[in-house]
Amino acid sequence: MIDLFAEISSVYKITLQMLSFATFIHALEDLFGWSHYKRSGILSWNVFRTSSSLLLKKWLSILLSDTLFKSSFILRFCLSLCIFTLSFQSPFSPLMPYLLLTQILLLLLIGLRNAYGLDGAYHMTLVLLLGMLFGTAFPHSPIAICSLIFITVQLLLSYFISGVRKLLSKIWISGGALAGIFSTQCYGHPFLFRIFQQRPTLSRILSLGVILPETLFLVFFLGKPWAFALILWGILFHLSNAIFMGLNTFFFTFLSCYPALLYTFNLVRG
Amino acid sequence: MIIFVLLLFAFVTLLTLAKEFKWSFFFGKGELAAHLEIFIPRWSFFAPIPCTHDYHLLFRYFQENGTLSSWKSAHCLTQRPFYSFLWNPKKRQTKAVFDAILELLKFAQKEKDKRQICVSLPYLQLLNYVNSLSLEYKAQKIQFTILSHSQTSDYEVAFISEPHVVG
Repeated sequence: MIDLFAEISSVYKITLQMLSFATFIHALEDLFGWSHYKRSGILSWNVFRTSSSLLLKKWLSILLSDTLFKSSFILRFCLSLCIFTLSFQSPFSPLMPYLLLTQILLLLLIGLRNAYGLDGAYHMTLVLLLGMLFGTAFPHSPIAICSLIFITVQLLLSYFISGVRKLLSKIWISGGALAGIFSTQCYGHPFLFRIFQQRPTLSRILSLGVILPETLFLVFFLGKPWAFALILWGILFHLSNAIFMGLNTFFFTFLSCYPALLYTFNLVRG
Repeated sequence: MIIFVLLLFAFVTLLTLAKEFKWSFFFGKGELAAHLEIFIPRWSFFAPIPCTHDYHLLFRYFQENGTLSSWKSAHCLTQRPFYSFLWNPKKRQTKAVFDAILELLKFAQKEKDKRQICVSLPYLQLLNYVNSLSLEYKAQKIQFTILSHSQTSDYEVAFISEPHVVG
């Protein structure tokens, strides 16, 4: 299975398909939740624009006004569909970098308009889009390979930093973090909270089941059994986060990095 | 071109590390740097100390005749539907309220001047939100509060705002 990801064009093709699905869901969710971005919503531009003089510039005010900003959601939705369709035909189509660049600029507008509520999935989407942009713009040069390595490095960093931070935290090592997180309504789950509260040993084992693979994700490059085990762990980890914590976009975006990871594995292992 | 791309990727990676380990000299204090920081990833999810509390935003209003309403919930935390693993449009709103509340609580803890708190971004963002919710009640003034709560502790008042004229 891992060998399937040795061919660069198929890696780009699969990544673009997965990524465009993620951005499609993201854009649709933003469109559906438009009321939060309105003047009366928690993500109102009305207040956030006063946070810096840069945002008070006239051209930016026009660009980020309600009407144009809402149009950007529709454009992101359409771009996702275009990228998805075009990637089936040819991931290295001359049109692709332009579509990806537009998608990046529209995503940057979201952060500029209101930074509250942005998450890791948003940042990983930016990383993926940046990598894909340069990779598809220069498909027959080493840049295409460097772009996939860049995505892999960011993925490895995300696991490593998160793992080490947890490893150095008493609440995570004791297993109390899982019970604590699952006790909240924001990211929690009442059923899992009850289980973790009643079985602290299970909570500690599962805690280590998150911390150790995250911290030691680099062993992925030791060989196929390690790679296979960690890919399986990654899929289960992100899937359970989506099911039990509602982090659906994390699942789509982080898994979109896996083709690049597998390509880098093939590159490293020759 | 390859040198430029490599430098760009290296720069983004360096900024990621700088944000993570709070190397402030990388970002400086300018407005542009603050905006740039928004786009740089922070990968320490739920670590080192995860949030184990829920925060509830409530508001009450003062009517023209001087009577005071009871506290009303501004943002209902409800259980996620089973399909939220695929479709969860409420996620950003929930996190935005959470982010603004946490930022306000942190700021209020270190800033003793009430006037500074009242003009801070998270305060104004939350005030704008509850202000729009109170319009339907024909209120004269509005006040909001933040309650913290967890499965192991009772509801506690974490913050209470000044009363403000509804605009």
